Amino acid sequence: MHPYLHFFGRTVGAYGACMALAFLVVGGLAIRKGRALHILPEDILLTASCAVGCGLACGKLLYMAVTYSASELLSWIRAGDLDFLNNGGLVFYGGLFGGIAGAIFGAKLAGRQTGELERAFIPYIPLGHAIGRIGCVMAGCCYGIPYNGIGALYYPSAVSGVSPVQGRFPVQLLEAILDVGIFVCLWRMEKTRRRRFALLFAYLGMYGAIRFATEFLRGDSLRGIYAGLSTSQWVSLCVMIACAVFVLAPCFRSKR
Amino acid sequence: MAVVSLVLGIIGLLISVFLNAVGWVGSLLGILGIIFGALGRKNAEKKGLATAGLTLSIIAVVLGILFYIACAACLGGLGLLS
Repeated sequence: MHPYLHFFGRTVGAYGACMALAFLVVGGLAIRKGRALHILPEDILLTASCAVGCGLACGKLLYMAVTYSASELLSWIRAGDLDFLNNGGLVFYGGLFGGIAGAIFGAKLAGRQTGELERAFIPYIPLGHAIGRIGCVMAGCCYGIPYNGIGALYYPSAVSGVSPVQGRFPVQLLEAILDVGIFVCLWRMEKTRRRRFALLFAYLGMYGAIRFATEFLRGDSLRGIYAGLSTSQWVSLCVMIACAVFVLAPCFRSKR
Repeated sequence: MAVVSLVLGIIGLLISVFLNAVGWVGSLLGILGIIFGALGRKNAEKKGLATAGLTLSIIAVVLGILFYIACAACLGGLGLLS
């Protein structure tokens, strides 16, 4: 666990550093791909900014919704104590859906079709997510269930809630590896002919399945649990149903 | 658009570097600066100014994220440790 890094005499959070690196990598690759697709870098940046802005806002809102009660939030706002905005993290699915909505708005602002921007952005999102998960490993968050086998991670008891000799399953690393796998699939798929938004739904479907499975290996308690499944698992289920509808819809249309 | 982008980029950068506790405000201003800068670059006359605003805004966003965003579980845990 290395929650803090030191750059030029300043201490920065490892998670923040990984997130900043992820944004730079995804943005840089999207601009490079955009050039090949004859999309101006400013249009890519405009879309990316709207996506990042909306994504961060929605990720934070969903985090607050699952972490704090409405009465807690109201009491803090009435007291003028806005520390809850500074503390806490983000929920990935909130960020993802907010980011998609922001990207659609950004594409409209740039006067571009969402379909052409999809090719420039979607394959690189899982790569950025994998870098973010490395940040989780370094920061010591989003850890796995108790496990002492190969690759187990050991955290201070104050972080993991168990003895420092009790290992944790490296679920963040597993998710990072699987995210790289999604990136490779989407990168290859991008080169082939396919329906509009097929890349987006392929990504959502693959990530939904991975997230649903890996949530069973998560050991942190900072997630809402409803009827035995976490918030992310419920969202994953809805996402997978939406992807199934997207895949099957043309079959039903052709039968008619 | 270009001037707005430059102003937002400068303010965002200053907040991101010197006011870490509200670094998210710096990132927010940086994001708005990028949007205005990208729109400003479509005007050929003020392309240089817009590019400067765009660059400063991107740096503001990256530094804002770098210095501000931390993980909930990590910070909570470190709070308990100290």
